[in-house]
Amino acid sequence: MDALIFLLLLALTASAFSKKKHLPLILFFVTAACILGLFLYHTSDTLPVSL
Amino acid sequence: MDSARISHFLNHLYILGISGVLLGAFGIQFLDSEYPCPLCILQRMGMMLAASGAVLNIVRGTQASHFGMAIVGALIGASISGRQVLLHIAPDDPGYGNPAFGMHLYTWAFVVFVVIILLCGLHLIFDKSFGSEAPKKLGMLSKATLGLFALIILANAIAVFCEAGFHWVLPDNPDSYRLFGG
Repeated sequence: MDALIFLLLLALTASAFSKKKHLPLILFFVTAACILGLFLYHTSDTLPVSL
Repeated sequence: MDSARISHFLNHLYILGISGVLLGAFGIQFLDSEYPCPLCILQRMGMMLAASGAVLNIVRGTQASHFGMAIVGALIGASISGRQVLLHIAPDDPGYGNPAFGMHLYTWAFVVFVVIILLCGLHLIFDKSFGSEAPKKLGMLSKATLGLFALIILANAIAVFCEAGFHWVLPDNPDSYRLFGG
């Protein structure tokens, strides 16, 4: 999963050269969502969810 | 030197600074034989996400939305590093890994993310070159900067694949490179 997110980051960097105007923004949000999802996964065991 | 050229130069400096921090973390990983934890890896991703704004500024010209991307990336990274700082904030907790220059890497990462947000704010206040067109052709320095940054991302992808092996996620306290049967 982590390696795939790094590849997404590489795609985001490469997308700066793309002719498609919105591609970097789409890739940015997809990557950010993946990072946040993985962060929540690693944090979920200690979150005060019972509150 | 006009505002657009200064902005272009600062964006290079910004990427090179983040690349330097990432290379430093890589150096500690391999020279001190430390295994980065999942949160450490996520902080590296946050730095790369924050740097994507500067990459876009260099290639596509300076735009406020690119700084927005950098700030959002830095906020995500700051949340992750702040979380790790809080995990080890209790007295007598040795923290994760060895300190570098007096502080642990996740504490340094938090400082880096705060500095990124601060620099983006200052850039937004003082830069007068918004909407300026990107250079028609990237110079050697730009190509070298972007190439180095892409290489660091690729190297991190390979290193984390070696650490995780064919598992979906890294263990909480990694102690080997699982791809090699550790």
